[in-house]
Amino acid sequence: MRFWGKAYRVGIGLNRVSSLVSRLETGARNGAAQEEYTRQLRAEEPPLVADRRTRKLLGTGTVGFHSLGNWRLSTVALAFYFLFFLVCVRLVDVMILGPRKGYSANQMVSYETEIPRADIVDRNGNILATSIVTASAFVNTHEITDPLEVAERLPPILKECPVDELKRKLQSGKSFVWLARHLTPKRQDAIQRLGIPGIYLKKDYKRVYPHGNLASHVIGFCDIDGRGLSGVERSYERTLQQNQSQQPLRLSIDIRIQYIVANQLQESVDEFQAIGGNAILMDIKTGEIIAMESLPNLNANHPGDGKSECAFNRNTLGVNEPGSLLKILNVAIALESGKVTMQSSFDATLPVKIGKFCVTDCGRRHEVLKLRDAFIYSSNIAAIKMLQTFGGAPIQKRFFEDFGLFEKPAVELVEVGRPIFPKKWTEPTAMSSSYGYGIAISPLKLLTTINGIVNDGMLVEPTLIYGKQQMRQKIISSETSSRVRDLMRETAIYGTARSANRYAADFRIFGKTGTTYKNAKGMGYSIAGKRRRITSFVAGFPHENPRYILLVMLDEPKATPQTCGQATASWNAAPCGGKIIARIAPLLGIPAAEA
Amino acid sequence: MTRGAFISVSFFLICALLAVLFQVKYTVLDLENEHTKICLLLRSSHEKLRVLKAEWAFLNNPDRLFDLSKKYLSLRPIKGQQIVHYKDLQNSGMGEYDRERLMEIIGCGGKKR
Repeated sequence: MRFWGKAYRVGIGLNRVSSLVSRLETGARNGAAQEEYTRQLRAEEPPLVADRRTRKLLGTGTVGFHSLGNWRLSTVALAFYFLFFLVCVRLVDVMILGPRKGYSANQMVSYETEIPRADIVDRNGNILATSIVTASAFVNTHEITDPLEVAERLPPILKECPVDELKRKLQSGKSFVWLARHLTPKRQDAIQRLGIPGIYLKKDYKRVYPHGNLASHVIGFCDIDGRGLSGVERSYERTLQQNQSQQPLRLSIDIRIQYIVANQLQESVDEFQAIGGNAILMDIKTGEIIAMESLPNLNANHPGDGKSECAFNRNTLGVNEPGSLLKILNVAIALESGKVTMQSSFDATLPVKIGKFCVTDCGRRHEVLKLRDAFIYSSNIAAIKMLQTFGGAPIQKRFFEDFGLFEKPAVELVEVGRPIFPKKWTEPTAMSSSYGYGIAISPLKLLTTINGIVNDGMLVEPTLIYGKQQMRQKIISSETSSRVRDLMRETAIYGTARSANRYAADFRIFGKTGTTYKNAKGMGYSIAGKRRRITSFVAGFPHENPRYILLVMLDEPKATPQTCGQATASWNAAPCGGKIIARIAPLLGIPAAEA
Repeated sequence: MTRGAFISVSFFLICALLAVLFQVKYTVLDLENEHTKICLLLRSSHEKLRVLKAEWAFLNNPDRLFDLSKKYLSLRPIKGQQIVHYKDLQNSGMGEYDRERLMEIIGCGGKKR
């Protein structure tokens, strides 16, 4: 009301101005009448109401708003005010509220706030996983006028989607239905050219793994929506997804070393017709995993194509009895306890009975063995005698607990297997464990523990992240560690790991082999008279200042004519390990030792 | 100042302000549009870079390089004997001439020839 009151007053003002102008115009013509009127004004006796003729002559509208001229002027003014008001409203709409956004048919719908999943790179910055921009087609079925016709036009472009499925999607009555994901630029263009209202392209990201099968168990893979399903992709899901800075996740893996390890392992798996194999290379000091391969593996770009066993990471998820590799722990405990020295001897002439089982030695040496010989020839009987010398089950269990053998490895993967061991650590269990049975652990846990023993007694948790500081814990003395390394060096020169040293003699390796029989649950160690083996080999290098440690395992390797009908670790896993070290050591900057 | 003059001046000022506001608004809109365009261009470049990096990683796949190396080059994997530490070079009695040449080769100075 206030506004209209003001408008009214302004209207009156305008009327006055217009009447003044009219007066000036008519003044010349009606001089006499004007003079008469002026005289009346000066005489301060103006007529209260001018007669009709006078008002017409003067053209005045000052006296009454009800005059015809005033009405016209006011109406025009109001009309102009109204128009100006509309203009102002539109200005506010355009300038303050801004333009309205909308998408036309077949326009690319993009979400500017969407950030692609961060890259994963190896320790040298080589890309292991990245997200590239693509587009996916979706349909708003409410905007489709003729679903059947559209369903007939799309198949040449969307070949992966059958016509029936297309019809079902188009007739679903939903406002958002995916038609095809991750289209190539050519197919995106083809869909846009169709110009079908209701079919849109949405900006999308596709996760790609340039190295395919290589390190696929470590890196893992994502689903079609870019959510991590396994490996580092899953364990670092939040970090990779919400990475505003787009800093890549840098793994400790070296893709060159990974390739050599995978390549050599595959050769050995093929040569010995093994059903699988796995290998881990670790930096002794930092616990960083340089390479980790498990065969069979899968192509991370097409994870659904392989068998389910291809997705199984033997290194972290698979647990098995470690066999003779556990003798490294047995010797370390024996030496650390102080009850066994390098000069100690053990009677291995007769087999040892544990319940219904009879423990013998493969080499059938049947003699009194010194500690050195018992270790390098991997005597089971001597290992049990050693256990009995240093105190049996309680001491062994305490050391195993210190080594963290009963806990799963703290690596940055979801696929980690828990160790399997008896609840009661009895004397027969301890006897079995002294030569590598009775407890099942993952290869990664085994390597971590052995690494702790040869790394001056410093246990370092394994990691897949470059430069990550890991927990360290002293588990045995440096002297014991040094002695164990020396024993392993002798094993590589004179013992069961000679075949590895043949290939990697330049790098002064120290190692130990292990052959264990697979225990099929409920079926024992022998099925239909056949024993299935897992052969393993662990080696560190160089001996004086160890920097790297390698574990190689072959699952059910077969004997070949070249192995003289043998299928133990010294015939397959050890040569494989030796070949790997010979190839990777120069790349790792390890110079050859002088002869 | 009379009421009419006040209204006129106010009207003029409001008009001037509106004109300035109009100008500023559209300048800002233009700048925003330009900024958006640059951001989109930058984003597009980043996306192209991502694709190129992925392709580069794919082309540098060790398996592929190994096959290409076998096919086109006579290079063989290096052996341990081919690696020496620099300190070993210094201790091996290598002459001054050779050491300077080595420094030159690895870009750490030395006499120019």
